[in-house]
Amino acid sequence: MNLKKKLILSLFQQHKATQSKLHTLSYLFWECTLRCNFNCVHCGSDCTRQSAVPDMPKEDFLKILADIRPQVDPHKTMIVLTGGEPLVRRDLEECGKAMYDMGYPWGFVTNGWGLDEKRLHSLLDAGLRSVTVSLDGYTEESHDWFRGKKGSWLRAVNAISGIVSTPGLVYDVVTCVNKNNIADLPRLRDLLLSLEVTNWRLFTVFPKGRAKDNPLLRLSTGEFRQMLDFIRDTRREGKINASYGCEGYLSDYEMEVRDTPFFCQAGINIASVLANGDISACPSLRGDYIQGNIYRDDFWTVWNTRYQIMRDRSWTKTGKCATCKSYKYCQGNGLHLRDEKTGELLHCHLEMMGINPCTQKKLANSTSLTNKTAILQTAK
Amino acid sequence: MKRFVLKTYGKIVAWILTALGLYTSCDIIEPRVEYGTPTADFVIKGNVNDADNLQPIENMAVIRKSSWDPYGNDTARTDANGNYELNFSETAFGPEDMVVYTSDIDNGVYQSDTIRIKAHDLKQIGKRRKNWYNGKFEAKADFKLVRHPGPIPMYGIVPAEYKEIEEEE
Repeated sequence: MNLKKKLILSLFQQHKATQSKLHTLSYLFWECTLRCNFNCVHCGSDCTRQSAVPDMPKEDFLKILADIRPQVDPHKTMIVLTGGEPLVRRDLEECGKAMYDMGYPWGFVTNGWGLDEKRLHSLLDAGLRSVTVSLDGYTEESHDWFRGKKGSWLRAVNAISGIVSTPGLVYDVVTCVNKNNIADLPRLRDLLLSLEVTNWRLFTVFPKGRAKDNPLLRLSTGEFRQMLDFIRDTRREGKINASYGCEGYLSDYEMEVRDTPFFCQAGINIASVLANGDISACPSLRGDYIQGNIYRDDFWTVWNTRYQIMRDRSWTKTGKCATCKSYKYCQGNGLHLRDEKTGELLHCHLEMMGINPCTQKKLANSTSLTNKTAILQTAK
Repeated sequence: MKRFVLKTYGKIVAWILTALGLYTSCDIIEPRVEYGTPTADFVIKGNVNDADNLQPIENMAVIRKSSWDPYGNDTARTDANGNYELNFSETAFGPEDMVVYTSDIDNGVYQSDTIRIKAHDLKQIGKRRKNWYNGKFEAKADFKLVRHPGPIPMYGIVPAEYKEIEEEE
């Protein structure tokens, strides 16, 4: 790593430390439903069509927004509706309008199935400001396999077209990179360019939910590097703003595949209210990361007095992190990548890149990991 | 870096030649009959606005990057109208390429931006004297800053600004 990058990363640690102390809430997730019209192979929520957890009444969440309104600048507090699939909520427009009337900008993450022109316009009338649509394949076959629903690729592409042609609406397209679609990334990029998409976020699965035991989803070392190289080269081309998701410290790829250095903002700038009322940070942080429940605790008190586990990460210096030379920049990786019970790191991005965290040298078996992938692809 | 080294090397050679009383082909270097340091004054003015709403940004640091960075850097702050003015003297034979950049060092809300002003874009506003003083030069550099996107959570969306909904008539 060159000296300039090291200097920036070191200075960025000061920024992170300051942000941890300030813990300004700027991003609030609401898991507004666990119901979903899809059956994605990677889903971290394990959501179903008829969820065991009923949708939270909108009034319960809106009360929190009203309560914290004097404490935050609502215009600078982004409300993000996630799920499940938010569009299955019939009162989504009512929720959005109420949030917007209180001064909060809001947006949601969707598979695009239910986002036709009519629905998009009714959501825009309710103050929708930002949308993220998932598109996981260049071909119908690979996207539909991943999403577990025939016809989903076409619907997603149509939704993306509608969003792109809406002036003033902020958006991005997200792609979960897996063994089935990695070879198609250049063609997928060209497809997005033909749709005039300007923002594209790529991410990889982490070992939770349904993805935990599916070998087709996790990239090998070679494939992971291939994806990072692809993102870096695409950014250099400058035709589309491609970036890797927020998780994971990426060593030499830092600031090459993302605009900013790695920073897990969970509990520092990000909170969430889960479907059952649990108060957490990113929705992927569940179990022992839960800080309270809106039906039992005051949200603002929880935000100000708890979350120590996320604001002081020194406890993460265990296991392989204890001797890692990159710990000062990484600080334990994304919290969702640590075991909720033991705190051990389940997924190290340096290892994913074939680097030994202790020595920072290439792992001896990184080549064989690549070969294993080749065998898997041949076997398919 | 290579360009910087080459430019510096070129300057040193020019200095040596001039000190030796030789005329060089570079039009900004004249034969010198005395021993001294060539200097020039520079004024860089402009404003800093938000790229989205074109509103002025107050108290933004505008830094002139010296060719001897980090030594000799000069910083000015924007006023309430987003205007700034950098005044500095430089060891120079005349107009030279200048680099100015803005950095939101206080809040980190905006992304940094850099403008390179070419030597031929500098306007001479003060006369050269017969001694080592090469005159005063002025240039304009306006910045339109983009807000920092910040990391987007894995399942998150791109943050957006609140805007009033326009009611249909």
